[in-house]
Formats: sequence, structure tokens, C-alpha cells
Amino acid sequence: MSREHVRIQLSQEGGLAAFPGLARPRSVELSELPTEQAEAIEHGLRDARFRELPAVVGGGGSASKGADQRRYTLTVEEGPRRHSVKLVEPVEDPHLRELLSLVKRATRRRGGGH
Amino acid sequence: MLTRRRRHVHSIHCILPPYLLRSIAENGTPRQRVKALRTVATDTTFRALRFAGGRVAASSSSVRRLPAMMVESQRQRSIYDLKGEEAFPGTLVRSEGQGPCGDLAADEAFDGLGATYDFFWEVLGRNSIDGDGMPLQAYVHYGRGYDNAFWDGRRMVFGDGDGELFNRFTIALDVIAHELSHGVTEDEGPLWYFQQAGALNESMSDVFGSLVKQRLLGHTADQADWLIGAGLLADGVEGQALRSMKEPGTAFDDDVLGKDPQPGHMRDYVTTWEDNGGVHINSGIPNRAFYGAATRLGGNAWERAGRIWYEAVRDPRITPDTHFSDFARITVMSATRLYGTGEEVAAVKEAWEEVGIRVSRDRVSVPQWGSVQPGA
Repeated sequence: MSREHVRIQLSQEGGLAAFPGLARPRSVELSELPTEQAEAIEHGLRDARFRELPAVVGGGGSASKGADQRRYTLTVEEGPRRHSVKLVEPVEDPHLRELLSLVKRATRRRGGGH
Repeated sequence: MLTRRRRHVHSIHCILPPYLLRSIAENGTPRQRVKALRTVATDTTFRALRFAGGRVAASSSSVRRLPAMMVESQRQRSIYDLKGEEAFPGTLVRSEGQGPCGDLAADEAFDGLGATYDFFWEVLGRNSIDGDGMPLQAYVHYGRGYDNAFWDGRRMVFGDGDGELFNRFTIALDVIAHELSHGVTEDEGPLWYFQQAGALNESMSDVFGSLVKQRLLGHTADQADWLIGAGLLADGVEGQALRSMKEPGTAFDDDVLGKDPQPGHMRDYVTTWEDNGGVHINSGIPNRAFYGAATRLGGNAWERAGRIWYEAVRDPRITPDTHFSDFARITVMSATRLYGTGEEVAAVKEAWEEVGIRVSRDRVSVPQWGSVQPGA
């Protein structure tokens, strides 16, 4: 996979309050990130087997009942290929949680993201 | 299987008529007043109406109990440390009767649950979330840098915040009380967590969250900041809180979080599919109505305005898809039932009218304001 053509996008909804800035999809090109951060996300995608995940993951057993729970949509574009996964908290897979954490940091830089 | 224990309900609760209890509550000695208020609050009349109205048959909760009237308060708090994991049950770090454990988030959660429990018991006569002494469980240090808190249907969960946008979520007492109040609203009513009914659910949590804080601080309606989550936003974030009940839409305006999207009037109602149909957005409208009623009445907001709203959410006419206008009408009826046709009813009506909902003797009306799309 060439880092040149990989774009990561993240949006979220739900949670304790509505934040339009966080709900708006924010994306970043891997090639724009510091090498160490880009490599960590690449490893994260691989470890979580992101490209094999179904459209919706997580949620546990009580998602429909609880209040203030949150959902993320994580999308990876590699040239013409695009894979999008909705992550409903609680996300139980530790690899997926780690990936989510890495992408959050990468896309929420002040003045960063698109 | 649902195994809720049914208590024996003593017949004494039928002896004193409601008007007499109200009179004692208003004019009795402090001791009489507390007892009378507890009795009024645990009056089973309106719950009984709910059963008679057949709504239970349509409800998914097949067994509901009538709360006992004469019970002793007993807090049962347990705080668990998830140590950065998102898997339950974690480690029990503090139980009822134990002193501080030294973990800031755990001790804040413990104290916050206590203040919230005390509010519902001492002000509204409600014995815990379910009115029947339900033990309170909070889970802290959920995830790593997790920036949220939520109620999952049976427990409260708090993250530490990422430190960049949010501080730890136990820092704000009203946030703790907000989460616990979701349990109360869920137990009391059938409100869907969607669109206006969901926004009412959110608003009830903000109302009780704010009242718990106001009571602990000893603030009157005029002295209160009417903010939800003050102190939660990290240094560097442009904002003072998650929401403002006094001035919805003014709590934050930050380049990462965006601008507070809450409307404070029906003409600005936001139609959206996001956020469960805008439950955290349009809750600004009933929030401001509550603020308006409380400040018109003056004094401690939890004493009259809080009681009116609490009685409204327990009313048998609350249905899964209750709209703001339905709820407005119910608050007016609750005010009348509790206080007669005095300044309380006028204050509640005026407060709703100020947010664009008119409640008259015979009907409730909302002018056609059109709808606002998010971000418009």
C-alpha cells in the first residue's frame, strides 16, 4: 500500500453533547502526517483487519437503551477503493479501539484535518 | 427474567388526602414538611392511572412496581475502576461506608452519586433511580483518553477525557447527576430516545443535573450559572460548558468542537437525523423553558419549578412520542395540581410562551415556524 494515496476520514455523533465540529467528517492524508504517526495508523489498520470489517461494529448489548452513547464512522480511501465502518460504543476489540484513538488524534489537530 | 422484588404497600398512604399533605408541605414545621413531601412524591395515584390507562400493556417492561411509601433512605454506592479498559466489571475501589480511596475520579463519582441520591430523596422523596432503593454503580477511567460519559441502561460510565478537548468527566457534578437522571427518566417514562421525546429526555437530565448542583452550592435561581458541564472543557477550548440552559447556543464556539448548536426557541428548531434526531440540540428549548419558569418563581429552583417538572415527567399522559407542546401542557397541569391556579401556573405558561409554545386553558399551540437544518 502506498501511503501517497491513503485518506482517513472520521466523524462522530451522539455522546453527552452535540459538537458540530466533531460530527463533521474530518480527514487526513497519511502522507501529510509525521512518519511515525502514519506508520502507527497503518499498523492499526492492519491489526484491526479494518478492510475486512462489516459496515457496523460494536454496541454491546444495551446500545439501544442507553443515553449519551456515541457512534463513529471511520472511512479509509485508497485510490478508487473505499471502506466505511460505523463503530458503536462500547467498542470491544482492543485493536479497533487503538486504531480509533490514533485516527482521532490525527484528525483533531487544531488547525489540522480538512 | 424480571425479578424485581415487590414491596408490601402499607395502606397508610391512602389516609391523608393530597390537599392536606400539600398544606403540610407548604406550612408545616421543617420535619413535617420533609415527611409530607416524601409522601406526596410517593403517591401512587398517578402511577396507578398509568396502569389503568393500558400503557403498560404496550410497554416492553412487563412488570412495574408501586413504590413503598414509608421507607428509609439508604444509599448504596459502588465505584469501579476500569483502569483504561472498555471492558466491565473492573475493580471495586469504593463502597458505601468507606472513606475516600484517593483516586480523584472515583471519589468525585462517589460524592456525585451521593449528592444526586440525596437530591432525589430529600427534595423529591424518590428512593434512588427506580424509586425502590436501586444500588448506584459508577465506572470510572473507562478507556484511554475517553471523552464521554454515558448511561447504558443500568450503570453510569465516565471517561478521563483526552486532556486536549475535555477534562475528566467526573469533574462536573451536574454531568454525574445528568447521567443518573437518565435512569430516573427511563424508569418513570416511556420516552423514546429520538427527536422531541428524546430531547425531553435530555432536558430532564439537564434540569435535574443543574438542580443537584444548585442545591449543593446553595444557589438560588438568580445566582445559578445554569451551565451544564462547567469545567469539563479543557484549557484552550473556546467555551465555558457543554450547554447553557439560560442562553442555549452560547456555551462554546471553538474551531475543533464547532459552535454550540442549541436553539432556545421553536422558530429555530433543528430538523436533523443526526444525534438521534437532535436530542442534544433541541433540548435547548425545554431547557430554556425550565430556566424561565424557575427564574420567574425565584428562590430555590428545586423547590417549585423542579417539583413541577418532576411531577410532569411522572404523569401518565407522557407517551413514547411526547412532543414539547404535550409536555408543556402537562407541566401546566402539574403546576395546577401541586399549587392551584396561582403564580406557579402563570410562571410556567409564560416560560413556555417565551420559547414559542402557547398553552391556553383548552389547548396548546405551536406557531408554524418552519424548520432549521443543522449548520444553517
